[in-house]
Amino acid sequence: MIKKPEGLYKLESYRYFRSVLTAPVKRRQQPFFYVTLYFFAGFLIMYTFSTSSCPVSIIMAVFALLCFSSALTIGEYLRNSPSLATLMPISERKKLIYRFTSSLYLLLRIILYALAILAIIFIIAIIVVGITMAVEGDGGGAEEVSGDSSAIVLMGKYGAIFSVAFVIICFSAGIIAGYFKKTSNKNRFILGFILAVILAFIFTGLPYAIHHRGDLSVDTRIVSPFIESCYDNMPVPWLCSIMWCLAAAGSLAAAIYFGIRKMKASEY
Amino acid sequence: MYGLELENLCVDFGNFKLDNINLKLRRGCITGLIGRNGCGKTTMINAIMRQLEATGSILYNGKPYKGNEEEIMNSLACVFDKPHFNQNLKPKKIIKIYNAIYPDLDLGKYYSLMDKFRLPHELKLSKYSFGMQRKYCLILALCRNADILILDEPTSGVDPYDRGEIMDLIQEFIMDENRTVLFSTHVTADLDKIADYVVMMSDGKIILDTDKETLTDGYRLVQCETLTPEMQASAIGVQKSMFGYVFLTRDKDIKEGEGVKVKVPTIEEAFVHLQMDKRGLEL
Repeated sequence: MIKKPEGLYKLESYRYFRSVLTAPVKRRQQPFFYVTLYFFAGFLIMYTFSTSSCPVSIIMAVFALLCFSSALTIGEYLRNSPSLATLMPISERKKLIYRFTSSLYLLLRIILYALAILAIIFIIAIIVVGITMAVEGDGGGAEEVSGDSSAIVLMGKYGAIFSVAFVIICFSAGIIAGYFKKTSNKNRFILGFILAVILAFIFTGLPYAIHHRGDLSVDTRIVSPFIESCYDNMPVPWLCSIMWCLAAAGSLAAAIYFGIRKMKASEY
Repeated sequence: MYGLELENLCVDFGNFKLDNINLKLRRGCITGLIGRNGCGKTTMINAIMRQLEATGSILYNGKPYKGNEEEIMNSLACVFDKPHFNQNLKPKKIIKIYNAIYPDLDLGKYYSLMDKFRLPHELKLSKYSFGMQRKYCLILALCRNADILILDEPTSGVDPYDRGEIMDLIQEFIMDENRTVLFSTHVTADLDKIADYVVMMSDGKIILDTDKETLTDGYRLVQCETLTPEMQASAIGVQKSMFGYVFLTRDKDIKEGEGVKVKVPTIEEAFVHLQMDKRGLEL
């Protein structure tokens, strides 16, 4: 016999999240969906990787991407009605709030899975290295690897603000994309969002490139907005940060507004 | 007292409209919902179950949805026309989530019905046949102990033996006189057995809402070899076959004779002829 809610199931938000995942999902998405998502992922990772030596900035870029994907995935599940989530006996307001928390639960789940996979890879690597060293004898040639202790410092105040703002923007964009019922509208929104992100990245990094034009060092490229040096040559870097914060607040407000509008429409 | 009251309910898809639906479902009664494919039965059910945007109002046990969402969703159970679960899930996983969501879930009833219909717990839903999936959805709806049960073709794909069992379960469900059942189906023989009221839809509108006896006893089905002018005057939905003519009539005094057979129509017979000639709907 199954007993009444236990463990995480005691949380209503978690119960909602679990009910979302029981929805029937269409097996075949349009190729456009995957192409744009892979393109977005590729752009974010490669751009950040090639314009920054700061590992935290790459982690933040990947994190923002995961936020976007998890919010979008929850939206995809909720687009398929009827589903247990839409029938759950809770108020419409709670359903709206839990749409956000469900995206966070999914994000957490993805991160936990990724960490578990990384841990397995790490353990395997240790075993392989151990065996290799045992075979080679005293472990000659082993070098001490030092981490980049200044990684977080490299992001700086403005880079950190941008990271948080960008994560919120991606999360909100994923939530908004999930509201679209028509696939064509959703695809147009995703495409527009990705183009806006690319342009915003380029324009934010432009002052640095203009300042260093003619210099043939590695730093002459456009730099990632995740790191401090991107803001070094801006006359008013705080204004840039404020604009990104406003964009984040605006996108989050839009995500909430569309949710409330959807909620009102279901209150006939 | 009504279990469900629909007032001026409208849904607009552009190419299809659910047009000003007014319907009251009595408690303690089973209301059958019939109509041709695409007439709006499933749309109406989805609107009742809050699965799409609509205008108008719906009262559940006399209460509006707004402000009573939790109570109303707890009192509603539905078997949708298509499975609303991920096909990769197993029943044992689904019931775990169901049990966490619905506090009034009767687990004992769930397990006994799973055994009764011989549904395996360990098999993925994708491995269930269509009929098995319908039965599974019905079990989940029945063990919720909800006040209002909405059924959208619950017996399609189900074998005759289990259909009989399902009819018994629905009748058992309605026993306490406080519950309401809306039963949409194309298998009108099921309604002949258990329905108290019949609602007929056509092109997004309700064209008939009456009790079963009025629908069936209010008409006579006539089979005759030749159609006389007197018969033709009162005939509704005349069907010509190689053996003669079949039609519906409101003339209950029509006499059987040589080459003329008269009987009380079934819901299906009444439905077919009334769909052919909607003038006959003026009861």
